[in-house]
Amino acid sequence: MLAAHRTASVWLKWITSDDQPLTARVLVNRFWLMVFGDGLVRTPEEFGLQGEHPTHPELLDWMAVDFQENGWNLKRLLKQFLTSRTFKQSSARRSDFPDPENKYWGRGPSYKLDAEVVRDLSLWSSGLLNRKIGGEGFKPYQPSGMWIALSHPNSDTKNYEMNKDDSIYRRSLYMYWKRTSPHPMMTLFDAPSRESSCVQRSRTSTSLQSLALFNETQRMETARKLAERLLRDEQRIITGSSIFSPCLLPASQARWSPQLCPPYWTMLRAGSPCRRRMPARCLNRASPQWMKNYP
Amino acid sequence: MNQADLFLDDSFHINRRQFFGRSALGLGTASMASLLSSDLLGRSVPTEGLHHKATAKRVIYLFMSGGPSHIDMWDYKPRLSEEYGKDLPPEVRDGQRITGMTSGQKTLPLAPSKFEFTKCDNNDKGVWVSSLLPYTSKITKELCVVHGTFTEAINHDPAITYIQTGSQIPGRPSLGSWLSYGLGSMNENLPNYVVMLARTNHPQQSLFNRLWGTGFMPSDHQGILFRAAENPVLYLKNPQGVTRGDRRAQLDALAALNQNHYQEFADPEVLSRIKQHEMAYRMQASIPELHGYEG
Repeated sequence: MLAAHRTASVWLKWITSDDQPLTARVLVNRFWLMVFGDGLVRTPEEFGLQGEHPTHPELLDWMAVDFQENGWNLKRLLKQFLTSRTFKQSSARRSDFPDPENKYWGRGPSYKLDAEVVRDLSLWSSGLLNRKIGGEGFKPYQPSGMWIALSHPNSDTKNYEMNKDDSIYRRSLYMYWKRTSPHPMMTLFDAPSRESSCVQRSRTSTSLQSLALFNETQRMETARKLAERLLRDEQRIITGSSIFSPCLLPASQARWSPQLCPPYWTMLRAGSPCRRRMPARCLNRASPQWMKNYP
Repeated sequence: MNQADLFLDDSFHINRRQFFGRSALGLGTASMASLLSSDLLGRSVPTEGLHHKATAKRVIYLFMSGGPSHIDMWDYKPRLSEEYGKDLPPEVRDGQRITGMTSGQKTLPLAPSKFEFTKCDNNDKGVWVSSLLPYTSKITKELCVVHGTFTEAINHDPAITYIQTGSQIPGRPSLGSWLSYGLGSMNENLPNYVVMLARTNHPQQSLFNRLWGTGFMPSDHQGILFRAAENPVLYLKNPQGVTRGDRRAQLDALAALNQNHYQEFADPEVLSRIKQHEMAYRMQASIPELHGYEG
């Protein structure tokens, strides 16, 4: 037993020692992937012979050593990413620099948000978000019969009972997760099943996602609340003093302008056959450009 | 001039991963080629790499969860009759754990099936069928019976995970996911891989999402559950008060916004999103039609 204990601690010391660059490299690469949408090493699960070379080996090495030397401080690392010139670039494709996979990082990140973020963002924009931190998980709206169709007759999670209070507006982080039947708003949007480890999520674009964005109960609810907010704030939006004003700009424009905003507003309203019904799906995709205009 | 006009070659925007990820050029290129050859090209396409011409166009796969035991149907074990009542020899089990249902027993007596077995002709060495299957025993010449499948684990869960994914441990793609990936589909209005669960009044074993999951493959190959509920496909129906015309108007406005976004950013993901919204709109009509009732 003593030997086993010593082996584990020797191993831990070895993977985190100053002479061992791999652990920090892998970690830095995974956080880079989270922020920029792709790793400096495009195969985050494989740094060996089967993996791809880093696009910028010196940068990765520098960041890995810097990360080690500063006490493995993740907050500091994320700050470095988010304040870098690489992150702050426009996400628009560049005609002067063809690079479809953005291997030279010559433009800012642009990728589909994770399932949890898509949901959280719609809650936030509608004003419904419940910011409570920690505690028991919650059960949101879910189409009927999903659990009972799969459950063993004696299962204690046979019947789904959603929460009846404002816990259903909490962040997706706290959503109840039944591994044999996870919530469809998660599985449809590429959240991993949590049955085996997942280093990189797939990013798919499917019509079932579209249907879910059209018709899922919580999406409907948040869309309605967001529409209320927009209609209430119409004047402030058009004059540029609302936090929603930047949404009504072509995404390449960092600042609100009286020439650009009203046509967008008109276009949005055109999608609504009745003036009281507002489509709110302009918020499904968020590029970092518009995120950064937010408090 | 806007950004997108500068890229005359449309393929420029699609990177290699997106290309291989989305098209049918996976392992099933040959199968796809033979599909295309019969339907579109009107000429034969060499199917290199296969020892026969790929002719399968679709697969119907029935999995009888909770069906009668193989011991009572196909798996004739005459020695169980000879050794009836004797204790299971220890070398058979070789120390393996037994299920909670039998672990409390003082002895583990052997018992044969209650049903008579008859040897039926099958163009080879014959196949033993029990009296439970009087009709099936007459058509054994048409059947292929595989006896060699077994698992090491003791419970249903790893066994059915194995039969659906080829591995007793969760994390592998299911059979249908492989087919969706490899064979693809010519039908753009319906999902590639559809799963239906039978409703039964008899007690049954539990099922899991992973049985039609994608494992490590992109999640657009996951099986889509057709439900015996109001919405045969999740989130298919528009909410009350939203007509098909409303949806059309909304999608048109949304497409215009997305087109604008694409003009600025030239991200092919945006076009793919427009396409998926349109497909979702078509599915809202095609699926109720398939299901035999109006949407």
